[in-house]
Amino acid sequence: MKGTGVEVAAIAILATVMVTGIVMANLVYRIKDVMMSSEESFILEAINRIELLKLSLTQSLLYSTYNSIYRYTNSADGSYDCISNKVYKEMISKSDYKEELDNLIMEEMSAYSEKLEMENTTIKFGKLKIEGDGGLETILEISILFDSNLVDLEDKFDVKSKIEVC
Amino acid sequence: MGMNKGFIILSFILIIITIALIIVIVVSSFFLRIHLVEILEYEQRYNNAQLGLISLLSSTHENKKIIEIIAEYEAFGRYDNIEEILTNKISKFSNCYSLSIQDKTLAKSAECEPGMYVARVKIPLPNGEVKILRLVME
Repeated sequence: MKGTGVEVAAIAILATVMVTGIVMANLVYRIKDVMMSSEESFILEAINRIELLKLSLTQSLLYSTYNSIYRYTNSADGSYDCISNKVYKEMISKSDYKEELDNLIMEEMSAYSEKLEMENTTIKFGKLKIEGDGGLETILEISILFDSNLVDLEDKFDVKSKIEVC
Repeated sequence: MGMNKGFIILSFILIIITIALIIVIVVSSFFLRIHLVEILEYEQRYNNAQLGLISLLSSTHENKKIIEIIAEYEAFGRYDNIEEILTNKISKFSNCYSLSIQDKTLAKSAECEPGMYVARVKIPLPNGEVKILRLVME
C-alpha cells in the first residue's frame, strides 16, 4: 500500500512536469510566431501611414504653388486646374519671381505640414526647385520620419506639382 | 498504517493538483490563442482599411485624383455626383464600407453597416484647411 502511494505520487509529479513542459513549449513557439506577425503589422502600418502622408503632401504642394502664384501676382482666388495666361505673364515679367515664389511656397507648405503631421510622424523639407517654361513645375525634397517604440522608418522622396497655363 | 494513509492522501493531493494544473494550462492557452488571433485579425483588417484608402485616393476620375476631387467638393461644393464617383471606386475592393469627411458621409454601402476597422488620413483643401477623411470597412 505504501509502495502504491509513492508510485502514484511519482507518476502524478512526472505527468505534471511533462504536460506543463509540452504546453509551455507550444505557447512559446506560438507567441514567437505571433510576435513576428505583429511586428510585420506594425511595419505595414508605418509604411501605409507614410504613403497616405505622401499623397496629402503632393496635393499640398499643388495647392501651395497655386496659392503662392495668386498671392505673388495679387490675383483674386483663381482656378486650381490651371493659371490664366494673364497671371502667368505677369508672374514671369518679374526677374526675381522664382526666389519670391520659393519663399511663398515654403511658407504655405509649412502651414500645411503643421496641420498634416500625425502621431509619431515628423515632416522635414529640403530644397525646392522651380522650373518654368510654358507653365510652372515645382519639385520639393521631403523627408518623413515615422518613429514609434516598435518601428523606426525614414523615407526621403521628391514631390512634384505641375501648373498648366490656360 | 498511519504512514500508508499519509502516502495515499499525498497521492490524491498530487493527483488533484496535477488535474487542476492541466485544466488551468489548457484553458489559459485556449483563451490566449483566441486573444492573439483576434489581435492579428484586427491588425490585418486595420491595415487593409489603410490600403483601401491609399488605393482610393491614388485612383483617378477623368484625369483627376480622387483626393483632389474630395478636396474640391469640400472646399467649393463641386462634383454633385461625388457619391457615385466614390461608390464606383470603393465597391471594387469592398462591399461594406463608409467614407466620411469630418462628420459628413460621402459614400456608404447600401445594405451593410461597416464594423470597427477604420483608416484615417488628413487631406489638404485648396483654402489652406486640412480635414480628416475616414474610411470604415468590414
